[in-house]
Amino acid sequence: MERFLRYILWFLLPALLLVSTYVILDPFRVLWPIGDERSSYIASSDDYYGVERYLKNKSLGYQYNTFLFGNSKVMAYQEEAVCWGDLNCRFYNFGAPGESLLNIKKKIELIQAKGDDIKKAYIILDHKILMNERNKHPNFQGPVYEHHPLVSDNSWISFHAAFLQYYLKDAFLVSHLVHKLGGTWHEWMKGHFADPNKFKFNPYDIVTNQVSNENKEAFPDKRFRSQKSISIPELTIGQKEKLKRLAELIHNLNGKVWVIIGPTSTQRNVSEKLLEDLVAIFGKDRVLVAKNKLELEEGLWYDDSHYSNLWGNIMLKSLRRSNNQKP
Amino acid sequence: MLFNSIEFLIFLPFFFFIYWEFRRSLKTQNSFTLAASYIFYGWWDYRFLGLIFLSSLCDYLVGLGLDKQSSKLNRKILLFTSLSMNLGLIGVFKYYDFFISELGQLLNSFGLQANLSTLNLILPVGISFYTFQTLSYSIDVYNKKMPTCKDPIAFFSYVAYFPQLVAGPIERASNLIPQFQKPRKFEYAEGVKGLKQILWGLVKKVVIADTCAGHVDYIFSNHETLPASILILGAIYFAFQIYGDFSGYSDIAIGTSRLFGIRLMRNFAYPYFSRDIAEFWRRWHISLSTWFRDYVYIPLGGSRMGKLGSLRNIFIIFLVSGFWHGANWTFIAWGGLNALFFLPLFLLDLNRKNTSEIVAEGHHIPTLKEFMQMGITFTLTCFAWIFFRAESISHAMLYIENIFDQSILQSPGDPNLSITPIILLSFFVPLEWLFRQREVSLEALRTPRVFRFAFYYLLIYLIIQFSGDQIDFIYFQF
Repeated sequence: MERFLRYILWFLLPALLLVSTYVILDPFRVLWPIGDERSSYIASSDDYYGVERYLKNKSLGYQYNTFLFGNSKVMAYQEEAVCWGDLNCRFYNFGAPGESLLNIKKKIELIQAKGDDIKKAYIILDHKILMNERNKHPNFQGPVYEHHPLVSDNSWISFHAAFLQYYLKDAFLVSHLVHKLGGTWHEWMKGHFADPNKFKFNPYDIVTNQVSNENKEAFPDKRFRSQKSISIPELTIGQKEKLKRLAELIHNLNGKVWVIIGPTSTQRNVSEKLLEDLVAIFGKDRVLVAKNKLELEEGLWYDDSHYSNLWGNIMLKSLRRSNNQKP
Repeated sequence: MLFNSIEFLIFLPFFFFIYWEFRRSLKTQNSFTLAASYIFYGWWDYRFLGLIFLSSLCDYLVGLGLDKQSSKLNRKILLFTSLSMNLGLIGVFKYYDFFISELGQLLNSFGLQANLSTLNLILPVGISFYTFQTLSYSIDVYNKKMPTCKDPIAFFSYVAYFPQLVAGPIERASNLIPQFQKPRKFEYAEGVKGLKQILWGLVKKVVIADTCAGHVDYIFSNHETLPASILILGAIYFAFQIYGDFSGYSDIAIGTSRLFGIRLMRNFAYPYFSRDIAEFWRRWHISLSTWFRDYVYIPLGGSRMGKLGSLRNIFIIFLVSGFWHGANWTFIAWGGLNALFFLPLFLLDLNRKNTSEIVAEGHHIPTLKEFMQMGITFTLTCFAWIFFRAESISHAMLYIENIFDQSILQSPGDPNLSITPIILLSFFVPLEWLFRQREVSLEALRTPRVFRFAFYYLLIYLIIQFSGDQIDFIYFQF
């Protein structure tokens, strides 16, 4: 047996060394307690950071009562527009890239478990959230789309295994180690991470978890390209059931929930049937639809599928005003 | 728990160390094996553990009963109890809905409106494997081919032994139970062999089978719009997908078991290097083929029934074997086709021609004749696989029709398909050819340790590179 264990040890030694570099360097920042910086030149899970931030803030005594849910599109909306003069509003942005209805449901359950009330909740809905069944959609693969185990059906083991795999896969490891040891960024590393010297952080608020996206240089390669518009399909029975469950969960907490539909660059057509279904689930005045807002000047976009904060906030206020809500 | 999951990577060493810690007490070691096997299975769905327990309990009690009974009638009743219990379980969970919907359609075709409702039951993983395993015990004890196992822990461990619980090899009680009844000793050579077998099994599953899987799904879903050349590729890819998937699973199962000092039977012996269909069936899913041979074909009279009776028996085992794979006419058609391919060999007494040695033994390359024989056998096999993979008989027929309808010379280029499987197979097939004389493929490497380790690392790198979402093993559904 000893000889066998020695054999394995010798064989696995290089692998153990590589894994130890991962543990020490923690390139995706998912192993060690989170710091105050959110963005990094190495893309990682926003969801992990958002949930960890929330838990950390809760342990520091923060109370929240107003939440924003949705995928990366939520970056457009900020506290100013969401709270809109409500002095008792304690806002937290709980959106994350590649979000699904399952993630939102689990986040509401987490909020409940942590003792926060949900006075108001805004769900930014689009076709990508609806079609993203259990985070398995092929368009949502990669570290950015990994979800925190507490708000997904990921186990901690599979969550960490996924990141270890990203580290070892597609020559990320080689790029990362060469960069760490040599200190220089090369063009061939572009597929794995941005040039740290040129990378600009998106300022983010540690209390609300909201991101300021007015900084156009954060992702210099991303720019506006017009895209074909897509209609949001009608709700399936499964989607209706999940949305009903979300509404119930929030109502049980005596909260009010609004559903806001886009728009994004890739969608603007909302069918009457979809609206009817959403109204039946959430209530007449709770579905806000921004239609035909595609023809915007480029300056109001953050990139080709996300609004800037400026436009997001204007639009949200305008929607709420048209819905007879007052500041 | 899947063999290609991170959970198993943690479970295996954990189990290994504790298992050998208990080496001084056989009872404790077996109890621990049983508990770990139930955890392994329960990881998928703990509710179905009851079925394994029920099946094990029934056959354990039947075994004890057979030991005490000398009356022929009583012994028959006991055997019947075991058969009805195990076949009843498979019948309800696997075939009930199929028969009900087929019966409904049949009655409808006669203008009778039947209100038959299906149960829509989830098929418990591995039910066809462990029920066949327990059945073999009851039949062997009934036929007095083996003694009754009176140790319940050893017996329950035999049924639930995790490496082969959900997808085989379907072990014989006479091989496995005695191993649970005597102390095991760790052997270095077996341990190393086991690791090599696990590694090669993972390569087959993650690199070969899973890479082919995406292409196969695309081709079989879009066969109406794709050229014949791609449809042929689709059938070939599926042949390697199912081989990589299932033989990969068997390799991991057998290799894992070697780490615990328990030898499982060989399940695959390089079947695609067979020179005829009869040889293919001696090399493919050996544990199932021999199960049907011993418990269906021979009791039916085997080859002692004259040509006509033997032919009937051959068709029965091929059709039953097809149906064992699933409640769909496609599997029956697949079994029937293989019986038809087997038929000429049987009639010409050529079915026992290539029984022992592997093709081109002691040579690096096959003769032209051997090459042609292997080519023809592989082509026939791929043709039959189309039925196995298709959703329905009409789907398979359309697929085949499209192969012959469209230009075979049209370029197989399609933006949704990559060249990766072809590149991988162009390395994999020659490697399998080099390994073909060894039961444990990687044992064939006779280079200095540094080169061997470098090769193993390359394989591990490929496994990491090609691993994405864990894809279930195909044979879990059977």
